[in-house]
Amino acid sequence: MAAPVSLQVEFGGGAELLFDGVKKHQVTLPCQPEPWDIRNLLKWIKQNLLKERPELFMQGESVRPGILVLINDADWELMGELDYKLQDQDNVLFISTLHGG
Amino acid sequence: MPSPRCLRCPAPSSLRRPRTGETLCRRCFVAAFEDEAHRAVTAAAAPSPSSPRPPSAPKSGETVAVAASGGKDSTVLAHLLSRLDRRHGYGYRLMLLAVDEGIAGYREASLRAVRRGRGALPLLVVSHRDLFGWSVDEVGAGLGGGSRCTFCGVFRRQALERGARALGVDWIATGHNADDIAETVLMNFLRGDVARLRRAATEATGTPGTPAGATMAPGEATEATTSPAGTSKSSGTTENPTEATKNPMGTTKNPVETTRSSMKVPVGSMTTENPMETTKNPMGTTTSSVETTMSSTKVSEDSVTTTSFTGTTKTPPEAATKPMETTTSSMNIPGGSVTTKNFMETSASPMETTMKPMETTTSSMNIPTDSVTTKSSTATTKNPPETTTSSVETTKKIPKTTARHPKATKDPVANQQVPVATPWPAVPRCKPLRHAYEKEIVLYAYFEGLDYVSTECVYAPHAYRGHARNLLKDLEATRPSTSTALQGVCPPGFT
Repeated sequence: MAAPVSLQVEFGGGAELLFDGVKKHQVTLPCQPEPWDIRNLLKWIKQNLLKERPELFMQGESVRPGILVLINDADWELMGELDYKLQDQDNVLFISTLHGG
Repeated sequence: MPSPRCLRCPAPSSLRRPRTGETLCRRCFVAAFEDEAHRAVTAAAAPSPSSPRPPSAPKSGETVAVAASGGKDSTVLAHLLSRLDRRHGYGYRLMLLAVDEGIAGYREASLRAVRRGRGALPLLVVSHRDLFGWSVDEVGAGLGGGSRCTFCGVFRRQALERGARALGVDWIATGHNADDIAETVLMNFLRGDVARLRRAATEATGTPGTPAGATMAPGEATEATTSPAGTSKSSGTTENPTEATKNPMGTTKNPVETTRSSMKVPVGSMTTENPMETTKNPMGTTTSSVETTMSSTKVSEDSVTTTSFTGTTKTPPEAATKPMETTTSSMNIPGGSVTTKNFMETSASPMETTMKPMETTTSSMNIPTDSVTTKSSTATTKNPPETTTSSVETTKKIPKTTARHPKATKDPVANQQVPVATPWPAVPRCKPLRHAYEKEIVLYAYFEGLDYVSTECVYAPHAYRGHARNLLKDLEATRPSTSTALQGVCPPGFT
């Protein structure tokens, strides 16, 4: 049984618009049998934080291509992407690049 | 899983670079990104003895307007160019040029971001409303089901051109990145727009041309033929690569043919004739007579081509330390009052100005002056299109103008005056970020704490570009080098 995990989840680059315009969210993930990873976090975000048009944030079990994910300011590609095991006090940032520029 | 070490220092890495797969820490990435931009700029600025291509980046002492939207690319570009200019002593005179298309709920915020982030750079904001007589919001009502992005993009390009002339700059720098260009290539491919396929990926447009046909690949034919006798600059006949495939009114364009007929006109006549024409016309009148408008346009062109005028239209160096901001309704560019004033008067005749960009897009760059004069005289007797109904009227007239064009060009005398009415030679454009991936631009902006707006244009979901963008994202997911491959070029430093 994994202990609850407290995280800071941030949205930027326009992704926050899908979350009522709120950029920073302090969240506490509840206890669950398996450790929390990004895959589970995305599911949780979809159920608990996402306010509109989930298709603009998610694609399948992952984020939509074009949304960058930084875990503690490091590209999630370096951290195992969906399989990264979340640690207490981690910071997970989603930055959308899907807009004009 | 901890992130691996940076390849260049002991710090943990912050990202994997899309092109190379290199893992770098934040500091080393910022340094590498800036260094690559520097190499791209200097390589493009340096004339190569082995290549007939002209420099595709500004030289020392030249004035560069960064086309600023407040979004990530142009924000990063302005930041980068300012920083690199200071660091490496480019000697650029940088300023910002923004376009207000008149899109409620979108552009206000981005213009605020431009103002917040401009630092000491002078800023000029030109608006569709002032230049063309309608905003993008207004024109939409007349379009029925059509996407207004078509109009918006084409007119934005023209607005940038006019703003650049009002500022008297030598270059327009746009923030097109590798993904944008790959998208454009894909989009042109999907639409079968052969003429534009190569153009989107070129380093610069509108630079002084090489002799027509000299060592140009077939795909570059458009560019080659838009360079009359190697002296002029390629015209705006083929628009912004980004917007290129947006084809207003469904007209079939043939840039190559058009520019061939343009080539009959000696470029020299433009600069030698202009001062005389200018003095003939009452420049200060506000009657918006067509002649006045014409000469106003010419004065702007002079600022690009004639040394004497260039001196007056350029912002003096002190402008860099004393930020100024102008809008089209109150231009106070130091030293540029004459040109600026007349430029403004050009916009006082919305019907006439509305015609010109459409001439550009409908392949009628070389409409003889008298034909336009007649047309515009008629037009200016009407009220400026304040309502959307009038806007529709304006756009409906366009094909007529084009239809007259072949007949009118038979008159050689009229042809002599062609440069008066034509919007070229265009201010050359460069894309210093064309090798930079979107991901890296966004991360650079994040690491550097740059403030940009990320709201999507309210009309963007209707743009054709979205399909190309989605396709590109899917392709990138299977092969990260897709963007580079689509550009068909090897960036400097990556040979």
